[in-house]
Amino acid sequence: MKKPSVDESSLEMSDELRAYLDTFPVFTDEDRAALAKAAEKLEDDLEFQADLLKMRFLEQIMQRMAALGISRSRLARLWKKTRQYVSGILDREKPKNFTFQTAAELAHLLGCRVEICVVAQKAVFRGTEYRMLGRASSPLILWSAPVASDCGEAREDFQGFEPRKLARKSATEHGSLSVAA
Amino acid sequence: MPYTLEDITEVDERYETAWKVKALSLADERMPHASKSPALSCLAAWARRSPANYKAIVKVLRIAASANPRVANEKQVKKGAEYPHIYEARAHTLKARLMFFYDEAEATIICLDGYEKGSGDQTQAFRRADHLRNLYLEFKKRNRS
Repeated sequence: MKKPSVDESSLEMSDELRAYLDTFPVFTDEDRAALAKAAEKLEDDLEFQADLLKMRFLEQIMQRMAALGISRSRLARLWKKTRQYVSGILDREKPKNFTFQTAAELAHLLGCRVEICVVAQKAVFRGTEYRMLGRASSPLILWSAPVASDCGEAREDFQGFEPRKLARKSATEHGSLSVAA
Repeated sequence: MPYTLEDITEVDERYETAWKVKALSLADERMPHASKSPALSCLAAWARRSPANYKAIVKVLRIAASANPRVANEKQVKKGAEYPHIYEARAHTLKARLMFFYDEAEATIICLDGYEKGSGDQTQAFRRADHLRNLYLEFKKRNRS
């Protein structure tokens, strides 16, 4: 049941909210810079990137299930797996690793297919083409080489690119990261 | 008190395929050039002292930005039971929660405030978020007319 709002047509702030906001410091440009730095670090956090990919895939699967009205039990029956197995994939706090085969099977069961693109770090998808972040006017030129990804970029977008090292995690770091959602 | 929307650097155009994601910011009456943003302050605090919570919330915000029409997984985004316009982005199994609402007219997710499960009153957090939402929408309406 919807609770009545404080006053939906007033700009008057309640004392409770005012007192609450007083507990926050002003958000400064230094704070913004620190947050931007934290965001930048995520670009190199491959465990974070992998979890995000899995979560995005699973979210799309759940959207499709909802649209088709398919429950987990029904999906399990269609897939000839146990419901526990399906829940193990969909529900885990930290997404489970699964193979392309599993992803393809899941999508196929829901009348879909999986597309995978490898794009430049800052590539932005716009309608039917990829553009670079901050360069709204110039669509990316496809590589002419047939072996390249069909969502490739102009060679110039890789100028100055230096391969990033895969950081090896110490046992302690790995332990602490294992609790990440 | 003027209300503005600030970018959330963690969620940029690469992820905003369905919704833009912004944080509500309130200018301080006593310091007109300074502003407060409970949502950004919470994100910054998690980034500083609880990376697992920070990363979990950023993941959910990125998923929400591309989920059309809404995030299906309730473990990640849950609608307020008593305040149905307010949603919470959840760091599932962790403590961080970020409250937001969908501004359909602007195709924007507006982050309002955060709280941590187990420290503070969840209903109060939803009520505050709902109040902030009403203030922002009224401010927007008056500035348009």
